[in-house]
Amino acid sequence: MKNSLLLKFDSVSKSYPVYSSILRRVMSRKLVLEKITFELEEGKVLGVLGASGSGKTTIAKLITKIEEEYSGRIILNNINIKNMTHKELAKNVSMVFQNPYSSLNPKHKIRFVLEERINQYAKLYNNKIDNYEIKEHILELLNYMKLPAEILSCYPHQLSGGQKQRIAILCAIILKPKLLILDEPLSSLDISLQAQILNYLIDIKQKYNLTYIFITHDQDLAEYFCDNIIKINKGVICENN
Amino acid sequence: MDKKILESKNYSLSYKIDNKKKYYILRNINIEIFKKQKVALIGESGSGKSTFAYSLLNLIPRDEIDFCGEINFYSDKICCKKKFLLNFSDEDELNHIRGNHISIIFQDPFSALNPVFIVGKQVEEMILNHNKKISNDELHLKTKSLLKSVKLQDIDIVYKKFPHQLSGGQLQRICIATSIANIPELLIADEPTTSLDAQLRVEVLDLINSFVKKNYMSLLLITHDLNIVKDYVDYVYILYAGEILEHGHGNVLSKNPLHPYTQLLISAYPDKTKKGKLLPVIEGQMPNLTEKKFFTRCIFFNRCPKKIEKCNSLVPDFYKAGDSFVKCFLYEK
Repeated sequence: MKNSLLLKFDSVSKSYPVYSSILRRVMSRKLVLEKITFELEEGKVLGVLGASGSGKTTIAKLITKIEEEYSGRIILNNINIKNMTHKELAKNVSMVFQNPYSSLNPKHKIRFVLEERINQYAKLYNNKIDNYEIKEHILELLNYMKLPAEILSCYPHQLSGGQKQRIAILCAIILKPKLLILDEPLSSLDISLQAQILNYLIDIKQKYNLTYIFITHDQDLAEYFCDNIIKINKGVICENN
Repeated sequence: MDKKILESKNYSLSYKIDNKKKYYILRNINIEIFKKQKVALIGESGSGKSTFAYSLLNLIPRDEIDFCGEINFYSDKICCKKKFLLNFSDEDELNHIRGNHISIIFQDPFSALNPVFIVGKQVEEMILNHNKKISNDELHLKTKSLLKSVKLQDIDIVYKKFPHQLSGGQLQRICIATSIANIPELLIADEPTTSLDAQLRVEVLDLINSFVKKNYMSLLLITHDLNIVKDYVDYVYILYAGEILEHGHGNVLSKNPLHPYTQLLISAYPDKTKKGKLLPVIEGQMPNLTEKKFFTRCIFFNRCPKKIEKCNSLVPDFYKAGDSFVKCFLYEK
C-alpha cells in the first residue's frame, strides 16, 4: 500500500545575491538549487547525498523557512509552506543540526533546555502541563535514550559528543513533528557512537511514526539508512533512486 | 627491513588532576615506526591517541603530566642519532626537531592557522624558521611551489587570503603545505580528514600519501575510522582507553579483526548489506581512567561480549595470532 505524500518539492530553485565589494550592490545571483523536484512519502527516509557546497543544507533551510525566498513550490502535508505560519510549521518539522554543541545554549543546563522545549510543545498545542508532568516526561525521555538523570544538572560542555547529540535529537522529537530533518547528525561522532545514534533513530522513527530527511555525504551510511536517495551536485539532482 | 625511526617503549602518561588524583591516559604503549612505513593509530574519542601524538612532539606542558617509559627518535639528520624526546629541556633544540624532523597536521585546520596573518606568510614562516639564510625570492618561490604541490588553484590569490576566507579543504591543504615544507622524516596526521566531506577526505589522504611516498617519509596517521585508512597504511595499532589492544597489518586487521573490541568496531560500520538490521553497539562506558582498579584486569572487560572468568582478575599479554598481535586471553596458547 502506498503511503500518503508528506512533502513535495516542485521545481524549486534558489539563488543568493552576489554583492559588489565596494558599494554592496547586487552584481549577480548565484544559483545554489536548480529546479529541484522530489516527493517524500510518510514514514520513509529520504537521503540527500552530495559534497560540501552542493546545496544539501539549503534544502533543509527552505523546508524550515530559515530561507524564504525561492521559486517553485514546496508542499508539506498538502499545504504550500509559503502559506504556513511558523507555528504550524513547528508542528510539522523539526531539525537536528550537524554540530550538537552549537545547537544547545551553553548558558543553560540540560534540565532547562528540555523544560523549555516541553513548554514550547504545550504552547503549540494549547495544552496545560504542570511541573510534575514535565519532570515525569523528561525522566521518561532520558530513560528511553539511556541517558543518566544526573546530566540534567550539567551544562552542554560537560557532556560527551554522543550525549549532546542524543539531547539534540530529544529536543527535536519533543515537539512531535511529522518530519525530522537530520543534517549530518553523525559526522562529528566516533563509529561506535554513530551506530548507537543510528539505532536510536530507527527506534524513534517507529515509535513516533516519523519521516526523515537525512542529509549526509557518506554513501554507505545513506544506503544503510535511507529508503530513497537523491544525489545533488552543484544544485542539481543528478541521481534519484 | 628499513631502519627504525621512532619507538615508544612501555610509555605511560598521566595527567595530574589534583594532589591525589591522576588520569592515567596512556599505559604501556609500545609502538614502532620504521622508515617509509605508514602506521595508523585507531581509537575512539578519549582513548588517548592525540595525547600520544602531542607527547611525541613534547607539546604537553610538563607540570601537567607524569610519564615513564621512553620515546626514542632515530634520525639520520640530527648529529646525535638517538634522541629521547621527552627528556628535552632545551626549547631551541626541540623547536628544531618540530617542523623540521617531525611535523604534525592538526585535526582542525581553522584553529591550526593564525587568523590575523595571510596564509602565504604562514607557510613562509615555517620555511624561514628552519632556514634563516634563504633569500626572499627563494622563499617566495618555494612557498608558491608548495601551494601548487598541494593542488591549490589560483595560488597568487590564495597566498594573500586570510584563513577565514578559505574553505575547510583549502585550509587543510595549507596545513599540509606547512607540515611538509621542510620534508620531515616523520609526519604525524592527527585526524586530518574529520572536518572534511567524503570526497575531500579521499583527496586529502591521497595527497598526504603521495607526499610521504615521494619524499620517503614515515607517517603516523591518527584516526577513529579504520575503514577510511586501511588502504593507505601498512600497519595498524588499535588503542582503547589508553592501551593498545591489537596490532597488525592494515588490510589483514580490517578483514580479520581478532580482538572483540576491533570486531565490534568494524561490524558497527553501516552499509547496504546491513539495511533493515540494527547495528551492533558496544554497550557500556569506557572505564574511569582515574581509578587504578580497572588496570588489574582486561581494560575492555566491562564491555566485552566474549569475556571469560580470567579476564576479571588478570591483565592479558599480547598473543600472536596469524600475522596480528592481540591482547586477549581468547588467543592464549
